[in-house]
Amino acid sequence: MKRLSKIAFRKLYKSRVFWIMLLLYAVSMSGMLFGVEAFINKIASNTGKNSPIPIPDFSLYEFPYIWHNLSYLAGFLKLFPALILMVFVAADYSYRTNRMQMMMGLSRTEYFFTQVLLVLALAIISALLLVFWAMAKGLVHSTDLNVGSIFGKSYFVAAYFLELIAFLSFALLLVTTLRKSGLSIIAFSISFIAIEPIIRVYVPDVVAQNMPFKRIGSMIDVPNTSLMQLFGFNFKTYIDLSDLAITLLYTILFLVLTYWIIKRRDL
Amino acid sequence: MTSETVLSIHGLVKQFGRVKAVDSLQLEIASGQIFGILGPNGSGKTTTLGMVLGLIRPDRGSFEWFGKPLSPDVLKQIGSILETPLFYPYLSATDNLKIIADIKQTKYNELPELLKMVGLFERRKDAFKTYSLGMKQRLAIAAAMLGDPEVLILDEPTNGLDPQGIAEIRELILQIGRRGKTIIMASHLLDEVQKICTDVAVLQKGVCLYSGSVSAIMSDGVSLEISAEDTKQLLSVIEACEWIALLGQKGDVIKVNLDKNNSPADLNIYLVQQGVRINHLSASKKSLETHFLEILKQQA
Repeated sequence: MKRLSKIAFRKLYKSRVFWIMLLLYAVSMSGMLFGVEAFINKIASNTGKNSPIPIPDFSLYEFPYIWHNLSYLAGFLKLFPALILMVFVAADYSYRTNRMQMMMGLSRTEYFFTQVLLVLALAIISALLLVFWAMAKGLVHSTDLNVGSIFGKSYFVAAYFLELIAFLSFALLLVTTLRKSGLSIIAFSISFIAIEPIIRVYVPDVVAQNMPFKRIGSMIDVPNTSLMQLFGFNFKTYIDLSDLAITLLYTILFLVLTYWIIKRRDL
Repeated sequence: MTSETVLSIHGLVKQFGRVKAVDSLQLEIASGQIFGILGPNGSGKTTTLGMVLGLIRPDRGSFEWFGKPLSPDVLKQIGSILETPLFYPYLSATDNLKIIADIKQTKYNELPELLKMVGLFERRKDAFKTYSLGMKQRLAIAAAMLGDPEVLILDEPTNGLDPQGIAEIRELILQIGRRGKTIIMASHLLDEVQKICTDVAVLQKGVCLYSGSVSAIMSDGVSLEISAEDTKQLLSVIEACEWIALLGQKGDVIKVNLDKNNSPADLNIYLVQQGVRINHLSASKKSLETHFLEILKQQA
């Protein structure tokens, strides 16, 4: 594994494009997690002016709810790491360096694992960003600072991590199938934004509820803030085990298919 | 040099759609050979090499390296270049080679030596994309040489190079061959195969038309140009001999062909015995090109 991570790392660490994309991702993620409260509060106070019932002040950054809130928000940016993944996996196909590497003695299984390592790395980086901002903001904004409260809902980070792995595995499957970065990015975005939602309209509810993006996305539900409760919504405030299991199943399916393609394809 | 078999191919078949790229190919390549796979574009050379390197799955047939089936460990014993050099454009020569070294699980300390050998040491820190085609090709050779492999596979190693680049690459290949490495080289350039290889297989439309040593293919049919002070005497002496075939006459110069069992030296001895004084004798070996075209014609 050490050798494979060395290989995976060497491909990227001198690529300016990689660092720029990663930096952009980190900046937008930080901006989002850092600035969202001000943004929401502004809307809320604007709405509050015209509202017959007073909207209570609330904080997104209160332990332990911050874990849920920020995990949910970070989920909006998950297209970003998928983009990075697809660009650099496709690069191996367009430079045909994967061909070179396999004829030099990298087995197809090992090649597959260098890709999985990239998926893991991107998910870890994202999770670390999330943990960093959650801790930083939480510690500043919370009044209750006992350990139980601080880490109370930190398992949302694990769910976010899994959500990303599942999402990125699908991106990996697509780019492995299509081999072109532009095409994969378009196909991925369309299937995420349009194709699956459209299919969901036409299939029975049971199927619709279990479509990959739907199921992966619903693992971390909309945070049930007092604001939401005010509007009469009632979202899940926990991670459902069946969501977790199905997301895991999808991840395995995507990875197994990717592996199968890599194993079989002529280069 | 031992003649142990490095690569043996048994009835390899690969079909792309309706086209048979490689058809029931049989080949034996022995240790120490510089083996040329010769054929026009699209004759199945690269497909064959792709299959024996595990990049392309054969439809039928099998092959063994060193008597063993292909595995990543076997591949680490083989250095190869297929078609164009494939590297990360934004990485330097050193960084690109380090990735290969990681794959082959060899130490980085042989990198400077290799880079010097292919003449890229001065430019080792520059990005691959800044290299000329010749430099790229030389880097590919360095990559193939990493880990001191027993076998080198080169696919069109001089493709797209200028004459100087071609000469450099050829010299490099011969230099490597002299170290006792087995080299398998695919090429559509007859001249190249003639200059470099010890053995050759001729491929057309995926079928092997000829396989044997280059010297054998070259020696059947040496044609000679002779002229003597007395042309008439020379002509009569030649006509009297069974193993000399008269091809034609151009002024004083007579063109003859010898059969396989006799060399130009034999001809010289015979003429002297017959009292013919020659003042010109030159052997014009048929080029491999002529042979190649003949072989192709025979099949047509």
